[in-house]
Amino acid sequence: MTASKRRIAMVFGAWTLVGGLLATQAWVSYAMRGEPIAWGRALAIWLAWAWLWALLTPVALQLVERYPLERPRLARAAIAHLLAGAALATLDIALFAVLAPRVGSLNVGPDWWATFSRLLGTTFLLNLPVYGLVVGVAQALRLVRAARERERRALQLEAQLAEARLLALRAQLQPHFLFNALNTVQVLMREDVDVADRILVLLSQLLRRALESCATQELELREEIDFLEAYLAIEKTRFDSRLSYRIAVDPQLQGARVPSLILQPLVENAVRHGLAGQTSPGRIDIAAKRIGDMLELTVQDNGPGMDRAAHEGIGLSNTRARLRLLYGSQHSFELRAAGEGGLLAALVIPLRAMEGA
Amino acid sequence: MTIRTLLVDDETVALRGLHQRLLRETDITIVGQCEDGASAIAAINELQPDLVFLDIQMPGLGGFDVIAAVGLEQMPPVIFVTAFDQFALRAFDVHAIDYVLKPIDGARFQQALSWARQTLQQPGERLKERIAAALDDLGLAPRRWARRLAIKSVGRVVLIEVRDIDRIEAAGNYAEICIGAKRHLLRETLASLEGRLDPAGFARISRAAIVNIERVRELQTMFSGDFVVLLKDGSQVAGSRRYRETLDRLLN
Repeated sequence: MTASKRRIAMVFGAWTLVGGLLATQAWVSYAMRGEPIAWGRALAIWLAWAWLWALLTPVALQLVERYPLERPRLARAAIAHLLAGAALATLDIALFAVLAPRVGSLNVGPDWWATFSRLLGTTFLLNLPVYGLVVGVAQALRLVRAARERERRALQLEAQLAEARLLALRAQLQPHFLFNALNTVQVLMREDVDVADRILVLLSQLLRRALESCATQELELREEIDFLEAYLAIEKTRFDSRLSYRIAVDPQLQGARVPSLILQPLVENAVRHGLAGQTSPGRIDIAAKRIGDMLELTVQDNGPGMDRAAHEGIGLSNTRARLRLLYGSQHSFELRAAGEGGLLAALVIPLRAMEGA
Repeated sequence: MTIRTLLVDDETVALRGLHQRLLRETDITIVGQCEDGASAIAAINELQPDLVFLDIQMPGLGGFDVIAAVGLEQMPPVIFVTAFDQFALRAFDVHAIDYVLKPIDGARFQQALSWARQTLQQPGERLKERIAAALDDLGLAPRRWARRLAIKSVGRVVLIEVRDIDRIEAAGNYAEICIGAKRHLLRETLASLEGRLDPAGFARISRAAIVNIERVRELQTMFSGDFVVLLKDGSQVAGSRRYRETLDRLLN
């Protein structure tokens, strides 16, 4: 059974139930008044009435979809439903006046018009709330549906968040980097214990920070830069004169809020590509500056620039997801060819100070 | 027997680490150290080492690119070196290919070395086939023949695509590679180079010349049985009758 057929069956079922109950009620009340009528006759009258409403119900449901009783257009919807209710109640009575003589109704006049006038006078105000009832039920179902939808969306968002968190951790420190750094320590401890010692401390700092951070957490720019310094210091030891870097941060921006380790994947890419150029040593430039009420963070390298902007955009989907999660449309993130043939990653986020800073 | 060994790792410190360990091995002579894929390709061609320690992940050309460029046919036995490559390692385990992980486990390093010594004592096609199978598993088409040549000049290495080559001529101990009007000098004999190039794409037509078969436009024979090959760019290359059969076979 399709969804729409099921809906039709449910509407008719509900109205049949209502008709049956009202018929029984009428049958009992007539009997108590000492004017008994056959239960079958009462049922015929009330089912005729109920099924007419069942026919009109889809119209009412359509009207609820069109004019939901919700802010901000609540008044407009109320007026619309009042008018529609009057019209449908009148229509129901008009149709019922056709059927009334055939089902043995008690309120029957000599012709249709007489029956209609009589029924309108005695039942209009009873039929009007019937429409209200239908609208009420439809509106309630609508709210239930909306609540369920909200819940589904919240779950989805939560799942996305959890995934982003996981990816962020991996993106911050590649296993490859970790094991290479350990290898560096292994070699250095035979050559220069002090240098090995320092690398081990730097590596511990990185690990601690990476394990602490999560996808939505923000930290001070100063801390982010400390992390990158430690990372680059290790890379510099590994690659010696083949890598140099410069970090230029406006001192006033030290306390600005940035997503934790957001620059790490960008710097990692920059190191990789800076080293790929054979002729010149890799050079990384990291900068933070203020643009109005926004904070711009840039990472630039001098590696081979060809086609990388498009290619790396894919690898940084996690970075994009985090930024979307944190700032919505209030950020920009782009990769473009840098002047000297390298790549420039530029990230602009709202400038906010850390609380209590 | 001394094992002439080439070390390839993008990391200066890691190279020093391999060096430290290998110095203790009396049968190992380190003939070169390369910090990137392109110079590794050049060094393998030029130095013809017996064994290569090859880092898989390097910026630019990685270890597998080096093998693809050199061609499996000419690739010496390899011990792969890597910090973290789950997929590659699985394939290596399946096909019994030597590797060491960074940081290096001393015992594992010795084991890899003794495997390499065994392989070198019983040379054969088996290692190449195993590497080919592993590369195939990794979705990298195993190539028997060189795809790129690495030409070393002062301070840099130029990579050229083999398919771009028009012809190659001998010039003493060097091979002169002609691509259009450009000339590159490669320090390698024509015989060695012939062994690296796919015979379906290149033909030796005399002691002094190899031509790219796709570039051949015309063949002019002489009474002596010698011949002249005219290339699409208009150049002419003299062919010797002793190599005639090879060319005939390929042109048909």
